[in-house]
Amino acid sequence: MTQVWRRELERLRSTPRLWWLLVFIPVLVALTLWLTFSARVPQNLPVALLDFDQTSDSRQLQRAFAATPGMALVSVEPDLGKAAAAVRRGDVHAVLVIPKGFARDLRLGAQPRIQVYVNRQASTTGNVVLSNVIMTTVTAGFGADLAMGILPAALVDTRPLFNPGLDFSRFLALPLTVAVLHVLMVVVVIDVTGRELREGTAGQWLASANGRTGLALLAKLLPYFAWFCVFGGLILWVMVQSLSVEIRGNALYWLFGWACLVAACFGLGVFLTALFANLRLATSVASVLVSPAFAYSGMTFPTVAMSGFAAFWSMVLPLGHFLHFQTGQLAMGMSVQASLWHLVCLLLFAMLPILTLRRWQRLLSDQTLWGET
Amino acid sequence: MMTFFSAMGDELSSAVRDKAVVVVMVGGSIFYALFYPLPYQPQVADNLPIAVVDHDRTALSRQLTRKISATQAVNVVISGSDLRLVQQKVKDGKLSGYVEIPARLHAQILRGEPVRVEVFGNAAYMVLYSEIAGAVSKAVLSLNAEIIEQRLLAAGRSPTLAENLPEPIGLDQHDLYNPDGGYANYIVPAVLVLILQQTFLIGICMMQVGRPALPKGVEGISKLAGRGAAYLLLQTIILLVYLLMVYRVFHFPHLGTTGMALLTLFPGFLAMIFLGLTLGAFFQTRETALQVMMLVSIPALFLAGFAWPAEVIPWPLDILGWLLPSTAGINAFISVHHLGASLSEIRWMWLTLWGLAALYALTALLARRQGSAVAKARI
Repeated sequence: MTQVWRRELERLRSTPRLWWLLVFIPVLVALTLWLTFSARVPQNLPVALLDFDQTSDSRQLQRAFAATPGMALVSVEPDLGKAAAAVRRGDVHAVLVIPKGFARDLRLGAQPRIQVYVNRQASTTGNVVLSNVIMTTVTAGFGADLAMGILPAALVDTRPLFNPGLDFSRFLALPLTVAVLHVLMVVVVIDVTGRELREGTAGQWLASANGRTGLALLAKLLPYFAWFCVFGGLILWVMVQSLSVEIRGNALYWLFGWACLVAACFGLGVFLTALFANLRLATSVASVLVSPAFAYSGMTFPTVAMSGFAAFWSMVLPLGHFLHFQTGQLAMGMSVQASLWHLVCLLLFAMLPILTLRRWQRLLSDQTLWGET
Repeated sequence: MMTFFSAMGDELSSAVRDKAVVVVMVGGSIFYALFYPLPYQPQVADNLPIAVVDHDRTALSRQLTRKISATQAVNVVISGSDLRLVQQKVKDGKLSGYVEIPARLHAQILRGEPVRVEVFGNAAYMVLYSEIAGAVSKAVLSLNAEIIEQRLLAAGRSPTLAENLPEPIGLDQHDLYNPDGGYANYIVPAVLVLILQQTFLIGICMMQVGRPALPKGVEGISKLAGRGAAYLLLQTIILLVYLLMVYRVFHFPHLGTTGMALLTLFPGFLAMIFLGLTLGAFFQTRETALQVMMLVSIPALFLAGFAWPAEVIPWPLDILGWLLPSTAGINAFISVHHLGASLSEIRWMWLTLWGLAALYALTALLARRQGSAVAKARI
């Protein structure tokens, strides 16, 4: 084993590309994603307000809209056409219209109607603006009723569980970092194993392990596995701390889950290299499996709403299993029993290379299989 | 001119004959475009499983439960009063949330005191929370309006007033461009532009590895332009496949025309292609580009300021994002093809794309002057 390690250390020392992949890129990616979502909540999204009434009542409503955290009112000319152009340019996310006669109708009890035109092409911002607008209108309505001596009968209190501040960075920055790290791990595993085949050094590799295939694979990958468990775990830990997530489950169990994801990615990588015996092709196929994995993970669009093939595929890929496990352990306080099956699925992926041991035996000893580009 | 066309022809034929390049640029770009939208096909998350914990158990509380059940977004799978069991099921992910109806709901309403109904949604998943909170709020508000209307009628107000006063300020919501805020309609068009960028960057970079330096002067420039034109042709064809086939398959609503979409992305394609021709000079082996682009895709999507609003991205990252053709490309494409903007309305984004195209054409020329000498010094 030490012979394999000595050889690997030598290879690592002379390959700056690997240093980038192992050390700098994980940090850069985590930092970029953390900074991108550092605002945590989309705030002060520009919204145009057209007040065709211009009364003290309409201005009071304007102030209520302006006071919501999610949006910032932009003054525009009272012209619907110009406001629509501002939406198309992306200058504002919505247009609010207070109709003429608003104050009069409000006093008469004739239910004046506010119009809101929301750009829902950009769904995240559209939803934030819309919920702010609805909340403000309902609250202003209760206020107007109270002034007329009408008490509300039933009110609703919305309580966000597991994420009281509705912090987007927890459910985006953290899982997206995991997603990129998981792509990276598969890339690295295919790189360090596949390059031996391409450069025709597989024979030396096998020789350094005294001709034992399983040992050659294990010994070569063990240091990388340990590295990603520790360094990747550290990056995620720092991120969790900096996002001040209150851990409701078990932090150690979560880190154990991370090790399971690392193992799953390694298993997938070793499996694919063996299957294609070609560094580039194995990486291409890996890209098909891991690049869209976040879309299938159910972190954004929920898994319960997926159907057909997508619902099936979301249960196959390792990334989704870990992300649900992670959310369960970090945010929700999911019980051990309920989260165990995610880990079982990850470990099944880690077992994949066993299926390819015989093929590895041939790959490492048959020179005609080397040098594929 | 001859150099231009022969370079274009050479590049096209060698790209098409290169299995690895075709697999990524043609196969990959079309495969991802069909594969990526699948999870989002239902567009809106419906029938989310929730529980109603009813501490009141009166006709009124049952009426509220029915109102909640009737909404599209949620599906009441448990209604009872075992709060602990429900909370554990939410923690274990079996339920997306729950509603707690207070004891004495009916009694308090009869006495004219306002009651508060609490709705708890799993906000570790933002979509679950907002769907549940929105649906339950609507149900409670509707109950509220019915009760107030009855009270006003009993107090002798006119039927019109009794109907209007529970909701003294009305709100008419107009969803622009994407009815109901469908998820596939929202994210997929933006991602399609990114897919075009990433797959072509990979393919172009692969082609550049190990190539000799460009000749000096006009000949070098026409040769580079010819190579670029080859990719421009391929990328335009793939975009047409997207607009004419992928859009039909998934029914993405859009207001713009195919011609305008092509015109909008034209400088964007140039920027992507010349960026590829630049980066290609720095990679020593063919798969490095593939490896790097796999890692860049996710950050690039969010830096584009579409899926996550540009207004709240810190400015240094925002600037970094604008160096990627995908940022202006996605925003210009969405504005023109989906929001129906004219080119003059998005002219600064379009000019940005031209600026990037010019910048990367220059860097490609400089990088390619050096040939593989540059490649050996890097990575």
